Amino acid sequence: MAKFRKFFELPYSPVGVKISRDSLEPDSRPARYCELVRKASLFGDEFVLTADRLTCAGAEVSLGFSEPMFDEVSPRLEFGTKAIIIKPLEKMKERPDAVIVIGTPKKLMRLSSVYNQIFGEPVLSQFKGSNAICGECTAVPILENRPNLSLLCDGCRTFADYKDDEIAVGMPYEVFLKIADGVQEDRIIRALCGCIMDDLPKNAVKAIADFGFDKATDHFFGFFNGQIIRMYAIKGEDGKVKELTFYLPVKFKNTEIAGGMYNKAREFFSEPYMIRLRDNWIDIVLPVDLFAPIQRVVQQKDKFESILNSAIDQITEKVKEFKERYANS
Amino acid sequence: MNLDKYRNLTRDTEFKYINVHPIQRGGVLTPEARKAILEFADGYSVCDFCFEGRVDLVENPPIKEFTGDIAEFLNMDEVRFTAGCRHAKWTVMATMLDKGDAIVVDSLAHYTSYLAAEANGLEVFEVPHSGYPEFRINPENYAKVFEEVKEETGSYPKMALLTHVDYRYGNLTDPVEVGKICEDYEVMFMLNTAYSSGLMEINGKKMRADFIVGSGHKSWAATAPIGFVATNYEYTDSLFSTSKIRGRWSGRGFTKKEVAFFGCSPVFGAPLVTLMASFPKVVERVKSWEKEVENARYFVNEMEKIEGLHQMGIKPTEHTLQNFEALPFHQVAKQHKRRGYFLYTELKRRGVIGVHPGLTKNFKINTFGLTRKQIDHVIWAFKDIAEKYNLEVED
Repeated sequence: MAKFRKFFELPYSPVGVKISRDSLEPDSRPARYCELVRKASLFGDEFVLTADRLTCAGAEVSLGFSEPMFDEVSPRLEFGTKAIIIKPLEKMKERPDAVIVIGTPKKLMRLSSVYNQIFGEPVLSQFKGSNAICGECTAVPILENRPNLSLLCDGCRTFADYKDDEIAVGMPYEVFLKIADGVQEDRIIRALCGCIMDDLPKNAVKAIADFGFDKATDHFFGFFNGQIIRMYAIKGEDGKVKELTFYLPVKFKNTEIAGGMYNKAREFFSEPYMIRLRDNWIDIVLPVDLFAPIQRVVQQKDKFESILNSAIDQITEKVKEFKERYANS
Repeated sequence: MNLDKYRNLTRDTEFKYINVHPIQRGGVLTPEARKAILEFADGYSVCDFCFEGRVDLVENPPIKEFTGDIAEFLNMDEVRFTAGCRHAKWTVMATMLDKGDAIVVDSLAHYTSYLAAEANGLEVFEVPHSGYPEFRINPENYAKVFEEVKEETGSYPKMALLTHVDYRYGNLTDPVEVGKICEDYEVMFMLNTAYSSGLMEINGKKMRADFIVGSGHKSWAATAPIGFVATNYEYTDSLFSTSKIRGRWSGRGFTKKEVAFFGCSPVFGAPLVTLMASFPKVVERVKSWEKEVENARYFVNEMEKIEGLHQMGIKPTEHTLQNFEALPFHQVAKQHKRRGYFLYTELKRRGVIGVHPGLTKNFKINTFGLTRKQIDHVIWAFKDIAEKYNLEVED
């Protein structure tokens, strides 16, 4: 519930309504249905509305408390309703027949968009400026098992305090649940934590992962040719990654031995290799120019993987030769 | 609303386990602070004898003197307490800079540095790091970025921020060099010592720092939230400017209250008292920093005897905070029913906590304040886990 409200930035609660064909003890003062829905949404109040407390004749017919006397009323629930439970959804223990969401056009536009993404169909809007919360937002969703968007009615706006910039949508509970489940808090899930590779293009990260590298917070690494190969994406001054560096650090027993081997390594590894002494480690680094932004290069999967394979083979082979040559040093 | 979950809150971390949590080691309370916190646990406990309406001016307990002592300890002129280092950074930026001004920060700066700049409407320019595996910040690049700022905006930045020790790799960048560059360019220099002051000696004037910000709960054995900002007399009037507002109708004024500190820094009880109570030990412990680094290097050396474990960042390490990459542990995690949580669980079974639950690819560990015996135990725990999962461990 909180996730739904937060996602759509709704200041008010969605309201659950349950139609009862059994008599229930009324729990409301005389009021309009739309007024109670709004109060439940705004203040978290709970109501049980019966016909004798309902002060709107149109709603009485739309909600099935009575049958039309002179002319057909549409939409309307089948006659037989004895009471309606109206509660903010988070307080509702019963399974509601419909859920009504009040919001601004912008917010319900977003809701409609999410509905469309999930169900693959648009939210329909059947409205005529009367019997809105009762008929259009309650009866229609129940009768037709679909959401219905309404611009509300005069009664809502005049007697029930709906604001000029508010509209409403009613939907079956099942639809509400699917939308609520569907709205992950994308802005949090996709949020950036300050990791150094935060802005590496997604298709590049995927291509690198598909190749077999694991993504650590700030670099990639993986087992290849029996070695742990590290890979780092170098960002140029234009902010684009057009170069990768492959690392195979070689560990020595202590700093002194590593220092002694450092000079040998500098002789052994010629350009494009780079050598760096770090304490008791010597970093063997192979830079690889992609000649284009990585997000473009990875689009040619075979070519990209060939670049990676070639670099990995080169660096592992070269380091192996180095180790073999100086194994006894 | 079930309120039971708020009753009987407990945490036995520090008593049952060896805690290597990267952000917690420097904030472990001293016995003196644990005693003091019981005395001063109530909300406004240091305000019994507040005659001046500001926490930094309270004389009993001796907070007023304490601000002077901290300033002296850092070789700065004046100090104020803040609700954490992030508040201190925000305060400096809010008082010393104007919206739209440029600030240069190191690219490993804490997120709160960026957010403080964002909150103040500043334009952030970054000093690049060297990338994997060192992620080193080269102080000379500050000058380069100053020039870039001038080229882009028409003038040099007004302020530069250096994260003395970064939170990702524990790299220590020389503030003296950055300070000199800032002095040459007449750029105000703010030094973030969240991971250094309280652990190692800091000489603000030698570092040419105009502002030093730090974190009590991260590095001064204090309860959160508490930080500080220290400055020199050149900037005290601006940074500590007092309120000038008058109620239009009531005529009320608050001229003793310092604006950027919300009048009176919100650290009135446990945070400030624990900071004070730990201070004598902190003054002593910074003298042992070399020993701490020696222990850290020993720790790294032993950890790297485990197949595939490799300390990233500058080597040999210059700080007690390390970031290890550990692909073999990650490979184990992929097959393990508890996935990445296996390492956390296995360590806990061996009496070690603090490695972030779920992490195995790379994780941070801080050994500050641990005895060599405790460090040996942590090493044993990691090696024992490695052997259990058939990873090679050097003798």
